Amino acid sequence: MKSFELDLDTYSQQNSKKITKKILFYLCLVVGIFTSVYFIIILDTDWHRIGSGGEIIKQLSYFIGLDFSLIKHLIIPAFETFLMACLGTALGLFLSLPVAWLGAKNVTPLGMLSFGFARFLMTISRSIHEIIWALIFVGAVGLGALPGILALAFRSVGFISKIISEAIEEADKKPIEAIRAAGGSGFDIMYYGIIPQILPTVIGTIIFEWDINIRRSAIMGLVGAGGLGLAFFRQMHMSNYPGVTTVIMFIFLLVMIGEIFSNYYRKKII
Amino acid sequence: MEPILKVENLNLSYQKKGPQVLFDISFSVFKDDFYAIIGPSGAGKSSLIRCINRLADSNSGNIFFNGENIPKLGGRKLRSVRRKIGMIFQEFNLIDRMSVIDNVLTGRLGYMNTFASLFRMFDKKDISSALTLISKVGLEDFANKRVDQLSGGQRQRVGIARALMQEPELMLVDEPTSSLDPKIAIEMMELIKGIANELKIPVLCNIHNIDLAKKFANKILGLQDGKKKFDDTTNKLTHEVLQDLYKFEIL
Repeated sequence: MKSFELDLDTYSQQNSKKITKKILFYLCLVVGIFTSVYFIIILDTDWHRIGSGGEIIKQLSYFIGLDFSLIKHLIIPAFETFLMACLGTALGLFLSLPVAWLGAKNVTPLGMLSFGFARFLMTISRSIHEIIWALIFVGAVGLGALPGILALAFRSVGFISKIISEAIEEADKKPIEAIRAAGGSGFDIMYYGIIPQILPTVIGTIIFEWDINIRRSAIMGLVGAGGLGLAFFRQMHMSNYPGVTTVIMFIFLLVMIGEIFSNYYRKKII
Repeated sequence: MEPILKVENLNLSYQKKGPQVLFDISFSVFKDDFYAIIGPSGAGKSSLIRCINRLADSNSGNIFFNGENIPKLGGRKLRSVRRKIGMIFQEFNLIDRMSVIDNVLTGRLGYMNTFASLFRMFDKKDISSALTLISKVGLEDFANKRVDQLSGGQRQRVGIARALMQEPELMLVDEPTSSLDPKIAIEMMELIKGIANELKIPVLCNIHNIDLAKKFANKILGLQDGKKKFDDTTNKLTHEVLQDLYKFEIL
């Protein structure tokens, strides 16, 4: 049996080993940070354009102030961003339902085959960034809000369907047994046995994803997929810096509204 | 008289090469029977009951109910037999987030098509009979309450009303009192027995409490390690029989 006895010498030995390890760790950290800074900041930055410290502050000060004349032109893009988030989430939910059904071990129809397929779709959806999805759909269906909606939907499927399929897997078997015993069909089991059990989780997840989608939809315009992002992009191109700040404030406002709403309703459900 | 339910040489093992749970069980339930299945834990009481409405699939043997051989059925045919067999569960098996009446109405699902089920289009007649059953089990003041806010005894009453909602010709009752305290347990058995007598529904009831079995059942089936050890009227259940049945346990 291993002994847990200790004397002064062994303890000092152990301790000095620990100290060496610690010193090595910090050394690696410093070297790591230094090399990264050297290669990606010192070598990669256009130092001539930055100029002096005063110049930086001057550049930043361009962004101070709001362009009030812009506000009336931002209302429709803001509304568009908001609707894009709503429709993207709704479509995402719609696409998630079959994926969640295939991806729940206890209800998947073809065993490992359909389960694996669903998990593959979930991973694809989440591992591709929303901007990349947007680029793909702008390429496929052209400019406007539609590619944005599709991008948000495809990006949302991964998270929503994963949560739903996990909820299905954890659902209590007892009510399901009762519905089978009463002569209920497979549909009845899903609709009366499983859905009431997973509904709070599903609604909470949708609101959460909707909240995130507002943030995502605000930048969709950067690649031509409509909304406030497009306005941001235009102001940036026109070098109208107070206009850029105004758009950012609008995005901030929208995101805040989404967050407040989402927090309030998720608390109410759970 | 023809039996309502006739079980012949039933064998069950859950996995192909797993241990056998039931060995060659045969018995018959008649119209006015209150049949109790007793035996030590793990004797196969629940498995036997579950074979009858195919919540478990037997390996061989026949189960005749209404002229149909249940192990041979599938799909729509199986569902239409299941809806004629009401079941009451040990842990009630209710849908927690739904109200009492919604739970009771799920007993009608076997009679409804998918479209009606999707839009919860329950017949007016069904709704009114659900309300009648709810007051029959003494829950008229709770009809619109969520079932997860009820006590154990009340929840089992919902389970009973749901089973009756199927207009069953046979009731399977799986340990109805194990999750309840002794006083409520007797109340619950009296309720089930009273309703069975009133509506003339035969009952097949799993129960490990021998006193309750003796008090309420007219026939007793004794199981031990998946084999039938006793099958007769209640008055033949002597102390010797019980000692043999529960040989390793203290009565």
